[in-house]
Amino acid sequence: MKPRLLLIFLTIVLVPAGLITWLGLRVSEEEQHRERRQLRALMTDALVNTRTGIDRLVQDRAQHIFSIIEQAAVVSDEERQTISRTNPWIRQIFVVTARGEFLFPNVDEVARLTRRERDFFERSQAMWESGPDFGNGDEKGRGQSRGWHTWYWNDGLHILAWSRNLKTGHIVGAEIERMRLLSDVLASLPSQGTDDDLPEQARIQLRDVSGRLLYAWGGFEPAENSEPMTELKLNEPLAGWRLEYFSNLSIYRDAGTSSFASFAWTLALTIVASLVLAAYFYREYCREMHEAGQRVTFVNQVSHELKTPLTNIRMYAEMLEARMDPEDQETRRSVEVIVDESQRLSRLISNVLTFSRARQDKLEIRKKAGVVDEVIANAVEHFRPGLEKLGFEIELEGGASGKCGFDPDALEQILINLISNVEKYAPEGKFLGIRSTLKGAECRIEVCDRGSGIPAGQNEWVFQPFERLSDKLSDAAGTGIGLNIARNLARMHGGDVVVKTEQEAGACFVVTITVDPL
Amino acid sequence: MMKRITTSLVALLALSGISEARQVQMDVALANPFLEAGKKNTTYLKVGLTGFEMADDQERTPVNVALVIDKSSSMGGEKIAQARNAAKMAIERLREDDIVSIVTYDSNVQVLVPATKLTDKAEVLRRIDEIQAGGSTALFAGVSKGAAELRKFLANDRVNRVILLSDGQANVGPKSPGELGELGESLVKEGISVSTIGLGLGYNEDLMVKLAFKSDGNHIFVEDEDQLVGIFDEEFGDILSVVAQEVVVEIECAPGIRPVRMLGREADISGQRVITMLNQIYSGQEKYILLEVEVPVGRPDATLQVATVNVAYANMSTQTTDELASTLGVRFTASAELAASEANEEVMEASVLLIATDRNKLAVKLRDEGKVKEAKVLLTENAIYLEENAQVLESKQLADYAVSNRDDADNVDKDWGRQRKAMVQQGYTNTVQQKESLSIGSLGKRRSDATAPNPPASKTDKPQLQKKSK
Repeated sequence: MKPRLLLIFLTIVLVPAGLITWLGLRVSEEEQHRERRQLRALMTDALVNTRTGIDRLVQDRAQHIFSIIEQAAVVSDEERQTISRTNPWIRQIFVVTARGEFLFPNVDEVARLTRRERDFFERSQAMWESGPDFGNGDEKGRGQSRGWHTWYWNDGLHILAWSRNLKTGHIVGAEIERMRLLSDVLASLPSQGTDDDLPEQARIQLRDVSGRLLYAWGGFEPAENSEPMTELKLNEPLAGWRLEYFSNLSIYRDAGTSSFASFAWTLALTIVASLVLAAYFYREYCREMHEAGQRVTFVNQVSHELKTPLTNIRMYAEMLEARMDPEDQETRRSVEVIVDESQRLSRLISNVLTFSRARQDKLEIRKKAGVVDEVIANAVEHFRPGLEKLGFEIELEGGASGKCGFDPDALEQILINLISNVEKYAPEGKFLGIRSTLKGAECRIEVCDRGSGIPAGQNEWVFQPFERLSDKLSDAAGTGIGLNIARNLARMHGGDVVVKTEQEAGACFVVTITVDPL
Repeated sequence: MMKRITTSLVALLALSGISEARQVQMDVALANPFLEAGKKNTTYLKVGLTGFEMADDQERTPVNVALVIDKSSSMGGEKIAQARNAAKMAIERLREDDIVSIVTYDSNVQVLVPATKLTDKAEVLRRIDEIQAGGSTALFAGVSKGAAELRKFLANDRVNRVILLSDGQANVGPKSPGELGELGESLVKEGISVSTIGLGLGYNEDLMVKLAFKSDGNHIFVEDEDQLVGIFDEEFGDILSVVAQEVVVEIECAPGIRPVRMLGREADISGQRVITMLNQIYSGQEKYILLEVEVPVGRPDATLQVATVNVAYANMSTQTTDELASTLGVRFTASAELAASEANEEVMEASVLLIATDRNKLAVKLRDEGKVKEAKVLLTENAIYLEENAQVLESKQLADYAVSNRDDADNVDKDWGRQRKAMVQQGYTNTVQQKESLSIGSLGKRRSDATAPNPPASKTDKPQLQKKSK
């Protein structure tokens, strides 16, 4: 009993706890995935917005630069020099023919080149030698008509904008003041404490093509060489530059941990609560079992105590009955009542004792030689006066008159319980029929009445101890253990007591016991 | 972008350059108005521009200033406290119609005070008190944001100036002198100058000088933070005394005359045309340019036109674009004596100063390369060259610079970090004719009446005197 209980309790505690753990882990995992996805999407959005702003700024400047380039295509060399000297966006104007010959600055007269122009050639020489890609266009306007070109020299990326003059086929271009472009890009980005600044836990960094940090905003300082949450490449002419989003993920992780922690706490609490509950129920159960045991013991003792005085009462009442004057009918009836009631009481006590013995697994079957029909006749004789008084017709059909080995006391108790039920619960049928057969080792006894019968589906339920078909006060009194005792005894005796199902009216109990043939 | 002033006043002035009131005074002269006939000559053409005196402070040009303050962790403690004091002092000097913005930077950039008319001084002062030090040095981004604030009110009837205060190496964004120079070059095209104030011994003087030089701003080395308030005071004095801006000097050399190079400054020399720009001229102060020219062989007593000089500038007093023009010629003489004795002392003095400055810069380069001994020799030679010329020309400025060069020669192998900053600063002051009071050097004021010797024909030659003393 105890290990099974333990198993039940452990199941009660562990199964829900395990379920909660699994579900909790799944939910928290899913939540983290979702949050990470959302966070990444938000970060990418922020970077895309920033890039859009940079693109807009570059487009705005490009418009200006290309309009200057168009002017530069048609003005004098002197005016071209003035543009290079005064336009904050343009470092140097140049004009080359479709075949790549310089028209401006005029390389044929090196001595006439200004310092600015010489510097330009020094910076761009390698680029010209490598044959820059100006869209493979021609004079007829085929191919790309304007664009950007970038090259590396000395301390980094240099940028030029070029445009093809459709009339002449010349390429007119301008080297951009790259530091001015960078300066304007940086100036357009959010600064600390403005409305468009990032939250404290985040930072966006702008890096150039060589990975050099150009600008950063947002309060979070990522550790050296830490990986950004997400990054985005910039468009032409700043291709190769990138925006990086860093976030103080530890806050995010803390949130995850704390949700995990709270989940773990809930789990622990659930386990503790289940354990407390289980322990409480176990204690209650034990207490009830103990109390029930005490009650059974008490009833047992009381019954034992009652048995001796009852036997004396019966003996003396019977002696009194034998010695009585047959004329004194009134006194005789009184004595008869005493005898009847004390017999009933002793049946009751013997039932209680048998029941409690059965509960304590102390019931024993003691077989001895005898005749089943005699035991049946004897039991019926006990009830005959009472039954006849109620107008009962008693039909005995004895088929087990052979001598065999069985426990007559047990059989008698079975029969007494069944007959007593007929007397109590089916008096309106006014019929008791008992038929016995003995076939080999199996002895079969049917006890039938013509009362109200047993409702379908309750054929087994009636054998449960303390269960009665009706608990109405008007109904006959009873303990509800009679059928249970009868079945227990029959089963101890290698048989059973069942309700015969194919019964037209009333109830019919079939008792089988295994006998030792002699 | 540069705005053009609609009205334009053309003032053609005589060769002597006598100015009318409220006009920048131009002096154009050759180092040698008489050249020896029968040989090729090299001489120097000086264009001096002196800002007119302002009647009183109420008339001064309104300014548009961005203070860009390094608040990286190295600025902690007394430095940032003095920077705050200096900034507050500067704000106190400004008027309600001035525009001021304050940008601070460490690893991030903060626009502490966006560009605004200074109608609420108390609020700006309160914001300055909030500045605390900590973080890295995003110098480029700081200057970029400062310039962006200036652009909100950019106009050529204001003095547009970024004042950068830094004590450290730029470590976020572009950090090479070349890159910062490119930024300065672009900014000055819009009329924005950047004055750079290097505090302590930790900053990159090459970067700070390049940025100031390319944008025609001032550069000041401040060794001790206690001097900051005084330096800011001087710098603002300078800004508040600007009388002319966007000065374009165009020299058209006559046929046969070859422009060789511009001393100190950068210029576009294309054929016979030389163009250079100055972003501003201060009241009562002379800025000049020196052009080395090669004059072809001439016959005795012949005259030859050398160049026409045209100057255009935005007059801050009259809000007009004024133009000045001058032509000058040279006379050949058979007498070498006469040629030497007629040399222009002022032009000589300026030439000697710039040549000596170039040599001083070369010494810095030698010392950077670890050639301590060579640097020392060069500085000593330079000092002798200056001493000789100072004597001949009776120039206190050259004498002072001689002393300074001797001092440099003595210290070139000691405390180089500090010494280098002082030398770079002095060189810059000489090159752009920054006010002497803006330097920590002990040099006195330049004398306008100094006599001058002739510089050597080439900067690599050993300096020689062409003229005997008076």
